Amino acid sequence: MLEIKNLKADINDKKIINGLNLKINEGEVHAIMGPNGSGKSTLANILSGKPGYNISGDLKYNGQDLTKISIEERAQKGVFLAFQYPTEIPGVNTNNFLRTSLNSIRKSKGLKDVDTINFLKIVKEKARELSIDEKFLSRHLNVGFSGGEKKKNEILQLKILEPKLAILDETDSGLDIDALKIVADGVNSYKNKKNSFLIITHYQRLLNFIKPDFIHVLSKGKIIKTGSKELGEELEKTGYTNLN
Amino acid sequence: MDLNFKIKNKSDKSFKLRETNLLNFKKNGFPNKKSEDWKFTDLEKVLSDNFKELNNGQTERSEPKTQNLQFKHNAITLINGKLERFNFEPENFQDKNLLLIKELNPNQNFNFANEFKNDPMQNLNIALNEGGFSLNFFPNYKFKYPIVIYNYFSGNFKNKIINNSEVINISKNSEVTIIDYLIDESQGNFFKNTFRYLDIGSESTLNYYFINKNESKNFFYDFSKVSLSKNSCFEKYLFSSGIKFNKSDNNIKLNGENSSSKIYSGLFLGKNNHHEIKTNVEHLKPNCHSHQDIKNVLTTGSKGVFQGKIFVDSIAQKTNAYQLSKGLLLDENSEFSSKPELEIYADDVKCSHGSTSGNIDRDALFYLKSRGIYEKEAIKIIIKGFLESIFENIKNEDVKKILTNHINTSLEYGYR
Repeated sequence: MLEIKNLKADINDKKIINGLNLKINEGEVHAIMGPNGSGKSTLANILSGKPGYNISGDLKYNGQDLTKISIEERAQKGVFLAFQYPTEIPGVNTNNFLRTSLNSIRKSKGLKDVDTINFLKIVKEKARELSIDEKFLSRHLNVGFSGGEKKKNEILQLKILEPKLAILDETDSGLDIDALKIVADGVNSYKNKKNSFLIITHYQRLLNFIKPDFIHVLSKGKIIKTGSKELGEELEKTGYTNLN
Repeated sequence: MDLNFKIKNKSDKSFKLRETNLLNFKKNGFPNKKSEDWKFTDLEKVLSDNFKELNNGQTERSEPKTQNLQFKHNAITLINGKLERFNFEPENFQDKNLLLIKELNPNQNFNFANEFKNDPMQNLNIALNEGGFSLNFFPNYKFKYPIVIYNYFSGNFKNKIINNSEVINISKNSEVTIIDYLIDESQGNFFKNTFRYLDIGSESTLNYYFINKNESKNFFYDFSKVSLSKNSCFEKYLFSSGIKFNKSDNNIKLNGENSSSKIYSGLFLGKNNHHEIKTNVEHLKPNCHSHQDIKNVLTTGSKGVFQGKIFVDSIAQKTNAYQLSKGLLLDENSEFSSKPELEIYADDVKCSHGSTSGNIDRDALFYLKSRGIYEKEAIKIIIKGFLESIFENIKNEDVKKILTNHINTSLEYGYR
């Protein structure tokens, strides 16, 4: 599904990704761990198409060159980024935003718009699964939401938009243990053989709830170690410094 | 620009007053950027760039196409600034019986005059006043339906100046909603200079909305003096889009304890539009509250101006005053000027103000695009959110709907 070969990226002449290779197949869950400043969020941003980076190397998504696809088309083709810091957009009703987003993606697939009544049914059901109060849906997008509410809102979008490749950028940071479980349950209930996950995190604790097939350690813009889920537990004990 | 201003009826007893005012006006002429109040809006230049001549002669008037709003309301129709007719919702006699509508005598001496003796716009308004209307609301009544003032301009104008006045008196313990609805179907060009006096009695509420139905290539100046008594509330919502030139000058006097004034304004400006919102909110008694929230969206070489002053008198302790103005600039040729001013003589007050201007938030745009929404649509969503956030406090759902529709229409036409 995703194949990255020798990816290099810099922003304002500062090298951040430095020859990264990664292959994610359908149905796989990959976790990327690594210290602050190792390039984790940059990788997430590049995959979703955030402008401002100078990129070289191969970035293939289902055989297509991802760098040639616009941000919105990536989303329409199934790439989803759960933001580390979801943006607050004043005046924009969360429900309306979700419906516009869902219908843009459906339209790109030649599907009919979901009407308001059916949309509300879908959104209410998914919100309930994530213990999101319905009142949130009529509030402005992320405005005044707590850290946990913002992250839950990202997972709600994931469940509504049904992407093929979901990138979770530190979705666990800032969550208490109950919220962490709800978010993990949300991800697990969506996970299937057809979709893939790239989970970016600092800590092992999320991986106790979402079982990854592979764990990669990113350091100075490069994957320096890949292992199974035991690697996460090992890192929790020894830290990143011993790997360098 | 030639000015052909003539005082029509020499036999009127107001002739002298008019003549003095015309002389005063002629001494100074139209205000220009040298005047602090007109710093960012050089009216003299705006008018001389657009009019070869201005005169107050007769206009060839024609019957406008009726543009009724689709919800229950009482209607007052003005054509070219003059009272034409009024219609009340038939099943509601009380609304009709508790409001007195009158045509204003153009020779009446309005009471703004003393205070603004040397104001050229006031001088001009008195000198050439063609009348207008007055509304007197009786006490102890909550109006069932909003009153829509259909403000039509229809007929053949050529370099015309229109000077009129509006007086609205609300007695104590009443509640009224007024929608000032501008519909310009005119041909030719004109400049309108309106002076409006709103007096709000104790325990009363006035919700005042200004909306324009369609684009207008004309020039509007509008001075409102609002006086608030004890425990009264004034809320003004102003949404305009597509008017060539508009300056709304708001002088609010919080004359009674516990009175409150809120001004919300959303402007969507395009095609070299020039709009200014000016406010002067005077806290003259303790425990009053004022709120100003101004949002301008500017495209295609338009210019938006906000001059906002909060004055707090030494006796006006426990004042709570807030002011925020924001400009969202969508191209390099547009401009937003803002001049917030605070003048405070009391020591136990809470006053806050802020002003920002900038382009579309890149992070917000990225966020929306990353959810599959195309850039053009995403920008519209951001603009709509920016404007709508100031109208969400509107309690009247019908009015809210009209405003939302207007924002949508402006977005369709103004941002393609």
